[in-house]
Amino acid sequence: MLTSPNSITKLLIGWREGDETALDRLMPLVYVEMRRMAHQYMRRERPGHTLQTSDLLNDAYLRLVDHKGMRWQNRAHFYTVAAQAMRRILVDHARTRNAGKRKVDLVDIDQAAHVVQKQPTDLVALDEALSELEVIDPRKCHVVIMKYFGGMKDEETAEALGISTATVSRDWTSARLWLLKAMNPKA
Amino acid sequence: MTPERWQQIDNVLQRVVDIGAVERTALLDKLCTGDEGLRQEVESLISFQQMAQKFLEVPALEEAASLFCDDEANSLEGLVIGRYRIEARLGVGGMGEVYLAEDTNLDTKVAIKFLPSYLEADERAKRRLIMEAKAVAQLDHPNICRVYEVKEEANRNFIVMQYVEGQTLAEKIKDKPLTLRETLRFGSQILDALAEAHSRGIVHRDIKPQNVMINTSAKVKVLDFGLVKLLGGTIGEGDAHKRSSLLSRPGQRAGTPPYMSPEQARGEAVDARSDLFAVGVILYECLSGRRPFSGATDEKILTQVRRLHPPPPSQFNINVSLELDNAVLKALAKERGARYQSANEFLSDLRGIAAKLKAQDELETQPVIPRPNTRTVRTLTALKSALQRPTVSVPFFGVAIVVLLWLFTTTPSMRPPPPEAMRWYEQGTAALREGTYHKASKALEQATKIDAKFALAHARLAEAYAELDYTDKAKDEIIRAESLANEFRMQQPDALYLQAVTRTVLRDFGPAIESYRKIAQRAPDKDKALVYVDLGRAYEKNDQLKEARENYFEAIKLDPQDAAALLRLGVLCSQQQDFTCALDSFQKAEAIYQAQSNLEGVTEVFYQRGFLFLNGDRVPDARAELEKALQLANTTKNQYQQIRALLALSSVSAIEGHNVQAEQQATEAIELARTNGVENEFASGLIWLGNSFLLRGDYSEAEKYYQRALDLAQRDKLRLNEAWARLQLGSLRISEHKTDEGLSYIEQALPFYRQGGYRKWLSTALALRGRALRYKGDYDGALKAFNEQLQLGEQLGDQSQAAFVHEEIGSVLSDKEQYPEALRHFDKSHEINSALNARLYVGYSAMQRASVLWQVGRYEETTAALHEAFDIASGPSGTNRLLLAAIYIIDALAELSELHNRQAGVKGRQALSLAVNQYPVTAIEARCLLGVAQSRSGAPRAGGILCASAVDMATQTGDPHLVSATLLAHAEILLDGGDSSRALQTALQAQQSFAGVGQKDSEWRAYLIAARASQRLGNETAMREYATSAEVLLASLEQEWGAEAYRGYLSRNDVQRLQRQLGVLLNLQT
Repeated sequence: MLTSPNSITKLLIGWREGDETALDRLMPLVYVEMRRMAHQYMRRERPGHTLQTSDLLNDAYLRLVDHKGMRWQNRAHFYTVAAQAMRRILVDHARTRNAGKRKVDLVDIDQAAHVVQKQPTDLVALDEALSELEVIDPRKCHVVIMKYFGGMKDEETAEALGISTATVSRDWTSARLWLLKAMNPKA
Repeated sequence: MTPERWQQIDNVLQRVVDIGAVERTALLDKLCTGDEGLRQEVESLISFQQMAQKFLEVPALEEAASLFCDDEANSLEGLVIGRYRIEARLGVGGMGEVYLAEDTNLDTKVAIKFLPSYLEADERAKRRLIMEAKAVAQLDHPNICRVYEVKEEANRNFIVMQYVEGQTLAEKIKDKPLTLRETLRFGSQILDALAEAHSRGIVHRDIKPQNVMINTSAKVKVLDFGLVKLLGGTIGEGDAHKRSSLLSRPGQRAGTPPYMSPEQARGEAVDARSDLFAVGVILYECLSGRRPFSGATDEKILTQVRRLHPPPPSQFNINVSLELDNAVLKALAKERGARYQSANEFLSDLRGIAAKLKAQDELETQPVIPRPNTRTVRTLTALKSALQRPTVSVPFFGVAIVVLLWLFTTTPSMRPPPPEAMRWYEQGTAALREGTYHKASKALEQATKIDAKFALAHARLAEAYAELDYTDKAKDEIIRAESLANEFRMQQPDALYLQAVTRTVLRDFGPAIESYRKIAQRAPDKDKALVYVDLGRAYEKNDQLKEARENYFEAIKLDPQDAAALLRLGVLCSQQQDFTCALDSFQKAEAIYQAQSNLEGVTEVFYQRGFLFLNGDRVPDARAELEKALQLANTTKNQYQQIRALLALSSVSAIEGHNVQAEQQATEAIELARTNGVENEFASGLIWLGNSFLLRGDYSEAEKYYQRALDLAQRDKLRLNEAWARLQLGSLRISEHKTDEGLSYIEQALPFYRQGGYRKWLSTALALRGRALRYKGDYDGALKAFNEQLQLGEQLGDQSQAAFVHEEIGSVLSDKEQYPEALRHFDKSHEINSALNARLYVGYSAMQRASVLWQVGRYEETTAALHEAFDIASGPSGTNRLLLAAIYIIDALAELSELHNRQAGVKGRQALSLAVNQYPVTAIEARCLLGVAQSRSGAPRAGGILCASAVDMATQTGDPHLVSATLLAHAEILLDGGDSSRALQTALQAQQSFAGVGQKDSEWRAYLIAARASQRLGNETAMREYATSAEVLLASLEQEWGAEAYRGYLSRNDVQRLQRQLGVLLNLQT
């Protein structure tokens, strides 16, 4: 399904101008398109190639938003929505995987020792922790969403959230500590 | 935890997170007095610090990439969810991912569709979803894909449905066109399914070939009934006011643009008739091989959906009968009331048509599915529209003969355009010839508005758009012009003109030139001058400047009052820095425009003259002309000219050092461009503004504007501006010595220039690439880039390019310490620049010459060259700080080589004060040589500090040449200061990189320092080894450079001193 750039554009403008329902309506539209694109990107990707989330967001922006008459800030706003959508996409994906009971082949211990694999981030746990963080410090939560799910640089995050780069970098430091603590309650 | 408490914790955390453990404990003692809980919280957070370093470092998607990749291969295979075991992924659609699964209870295959989780965020919405899906689940019809159940398991909602083996209609029509009968059969079955659903009040909302499965027994199964609604279609009216619903509301569209009905496109409520519209679209596509509504963007498609009345499918497929044409067009009626009112009504018409068809003979649609570019099809189309319907079914092979006859006899001729359109057309082409493209586009838009079938006007309009960098618009116009030309027979010379203009727009200049030449041969004398101007322009675009000039001359000879030709000639001469010719041509053009009271023409002359002066370093004259241009443009209210004049003036101000004024003017221009929707000028304005910041060394501001320009150009598909912005960003990064980033920008711009044959731009891009590679120490890569550029320059006959390349090649060779060869290139560039009278560049090449002359002991010539450069650097149009700093550096280095340490120090300080904060590389060089001068004057400690900082800064630039040069200097100072072991280590580090590049001069000196250091450290063996290496390398320089240069080198005071030191060491050995 394609979504019309015009509707997204209008919603973005509406949101900027204070229509809070616009964000709710934006999300499904952006979600669908972003997920389609994410999969497309994956298919193009070979393991080991670099995939840039920010490129994907940028492409989504160009595809989805009708630019005529858009203000510069709208791009930043779009990125905010897109990063949120990306969070949902990836967390959904992780949840589906967790939902199934996979037949796990036993791995030979010797072999396993050679596979020095980086532990992938537990997205479901992260998602929960983020929701908690949002309650006590929404700005830090947004910084994480933009940077981690949106793949944005400090400068871009700062622009999108209307805060300084220094603040982004400080928030990023504390937020990660906070999240780690929340995700590792025993430690 | 409350937000307030966290705030408190975070405040402390921020203060202690970045400091050492001891300090931290102390600070925590202070900050957490009386609140042990606070301290514990902070400490427990800090305990994650190690872990946090890698945490979330890689963006989620990139981290998940390999996971997703695996999924592509084995998907969720093996997962068991409830009673379903997932076997394979079938696809990803708008509504979620679809998997093939096994129902372990019933032992059957099913398809499972997982819905995205945002649909679950809201309970009400979720209930609604489930209700909807349950309603669909009740549909039981042979042509509808069954929905078995809607489930929620492990927080995910999914729909279990019938698994249909087969192909979608979309895949099927992609493979090969359908026959008429297949089309009718599938269409009928889709309608049958819709009739059933509609009777139960369910509207599909997203009928499209992707949602129509054809199973292995060629039966239709329609998928995804009503599902699209969940994604944003209009839901029950009662919900419309609820804020919390994630689902959509009126005013918002869902569906797939090419298959949307006009009411959907307008965001209005849909009903059964909207589905019927979509069936019309599908039938149209199957019959004609093309979609009735298309466009590059969704928005364009939707505009067509709302407005365009597509031609009947029989236009593209002669087998389509009048009745079928009518049925499809009725389904596609814009007003719902004019369409079929029910699926059954539509169905009964299709059945009637099918019955008739059966009675007729076998008729296949296949052979004539159009391929838009083949002549036959076009002619068929023309033939078809000329033959009045009702169509007789003619077997295809019979048609071919008719077509051939048709071609030679009856193609309708182009009707001459009305006189008013003609007038606009002539105005437009005149403006094109003088280079006022915006004016041209406006006039030609008028011409095409009055006569939409005016093929040449469309082509000329495309030309104007292309000049204005409106690539897409240009393409549209060319397509229009070509299709008109195919529909109607064109008279000569119009057909040739069309060919010439089309080829010009497509940047295929060879054929364009050929056509213009043919026109010129046949044209009556009164028109010849105009054709010569066109021909000259084509040559100019093809970078055949000599031929261009000849043709302009020819035009002027025929018509001395041809102001456009004079203006063109002037601009061309101006580019070639031929002042006399340029000024003369401009003066004549101005007089003619004045006599004609053509103020816009006069403005253009002022503007171009201003540019001539600007490039010729006559800044005050340039300002005067450009101000006149601006004033006149203000009078005529020609915004385009206003913008350009303002931008040029902004450059002048920047060069004069009036930064604030420069910025004001550029901002004003940009504002004008923005408010008038002149996107191309807006984008280039941003780049100009960026340039003025770059020129004064404000990189971050410059970057901001380049980036904005890039965004804008990408957005509006302004290809030239896009590439230009990349080029500038690349150049900026390279100046900042962020070489890799710079290179990546350049690499992105290069293909565009190559493919489009923009040779001048290409040449600039290559130069930048070469320079970046040089900074990276990739000298071979750099030389390759420059040589490619040199060849280009020769092809272009562009002297200034050639001079530039020689300078760059010289720099690479100079970095490699191949001084005599480098000098040959610098001499060459100096010679060319002098001949071109390009003062500033003469200054640069003189400076470059000086930079190698002293190396081989030619001091007198060094001084002369430096004087020449100095006069230019501190010339009448202001001081060129960069050049001046470079001059002082060279002078200081030369003084050092003569062992005049004090003078070297004075000059080095001059260089540093000029370069500091602005030119990082020059500043590093200055620091380093100052350090050496101080050390040699007996202050090794102070010199050491300066030089060590230079080493650090050089390391940051990542420029290996700079790093090794500073290391060598530092090694010398360390040795002077008595730190032999560090001197040894540093010298060897430098020596290695010299050896890698082949810098033998520096390498032998590094060895010498290493040998001296080893001697002081008492390591005789090492000393001997290093000294011998130094001796061998020194001797090898003779062969490298030739006897004469080597002799000159040996005559240098510093070299003699080093030689003596080496001699001592070598004597110790024996």
